[in-house]
Amino acid sequence: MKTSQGHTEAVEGTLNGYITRFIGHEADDIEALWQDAWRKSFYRGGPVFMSALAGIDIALWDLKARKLNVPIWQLLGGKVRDRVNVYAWIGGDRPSDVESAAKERMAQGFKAVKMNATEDVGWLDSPGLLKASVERLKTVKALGIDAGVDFHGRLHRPMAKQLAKALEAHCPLFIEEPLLSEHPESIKELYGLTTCPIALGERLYSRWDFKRFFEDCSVDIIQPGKFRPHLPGLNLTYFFNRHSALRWNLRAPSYRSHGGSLRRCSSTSLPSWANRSRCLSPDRYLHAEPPDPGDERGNALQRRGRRV
Amino acid sequence: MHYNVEAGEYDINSYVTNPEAFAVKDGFVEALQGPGLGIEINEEVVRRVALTTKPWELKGFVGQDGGYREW
Repeated sequence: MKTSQGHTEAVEGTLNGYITRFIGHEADDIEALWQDAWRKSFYRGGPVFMSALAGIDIALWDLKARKLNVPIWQLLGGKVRDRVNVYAWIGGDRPSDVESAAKERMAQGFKAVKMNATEDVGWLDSPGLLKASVERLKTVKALGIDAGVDFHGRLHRPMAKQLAKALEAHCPLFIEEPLLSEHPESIKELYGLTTCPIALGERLYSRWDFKRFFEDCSVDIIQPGKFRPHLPGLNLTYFFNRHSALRWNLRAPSYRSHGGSLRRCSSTSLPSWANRSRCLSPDRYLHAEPPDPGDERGNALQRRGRRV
Repeated sequence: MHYNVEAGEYDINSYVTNPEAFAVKDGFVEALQGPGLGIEINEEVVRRVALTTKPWELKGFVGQDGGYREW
């Protein structure tokens, strides 16, 4: 199991506690175990607890499906799609670096990549710093593939809104964590300022952490990364399948895996376990269906001219 | 993680015995068909690496003024 990056010892300690607590528990009662871990813990949530719990949760689903000799998706209602669209992470700070890295990914079969927007940026920094980010996006797009740009929560509001605006003309596939998750009100404002699709969720750890963003309709692509270390595993998936259909006019059955969809897959640096596996779940691509007439939220989506 | 360059050659394919499950073709990965997750973990490798590898150290940025920045 992968533990939370940079906090492996903390997660291992939590796991040791769970081991003591759950030895003798019925392995097939996955939901009961999850609720025991959540409701009887008093302190809960966050990257450490949820990484440990996600590891156990995913392992139990794996065990149960193996016992029944079916893929896990058979226990979740069956699959909708036959394949999933994926992207790969690339590094590199200069346009020439990202160009060669993107070409490598293309050779591996990828049609889209994701890259960091910037290195470190001050609260209020020189606007000139942002030009390099635009150049990198243009360089990758010129190869004929799509690119997501990960702000990584590095920029604060004064710089983030400038960069979103500057990238807009070059159509990033999405911008990720344009602001840190602890600023939902600012993310909502940014959502109204840009046509760039906004991705968020890497640092949200439970369905309750996501709730505000669903209510605000301030995120286009949710990134719960249920196979990522710090999320409550498949338990969260169920929630998203249902809740997103209710709140966003994003319909569960319309998840698609090809162009025209809101693609949500992994920042796979072909090779990273956590990121790679994020691509593989059949429910990740959310597609914005034409909104219901008269629906205020739906019309707002339409006005924003979703290009995907 | 993709930014864990200290891991060297280790990547997801190092820990599974069916890396072909992750093959990318024309931008797509085929739905996994095997039982469970459809991924076969090489537990021997996982245990060995867990014992012999130091935890990844957190990174960070400090501005010219000495102030801490978001990583």
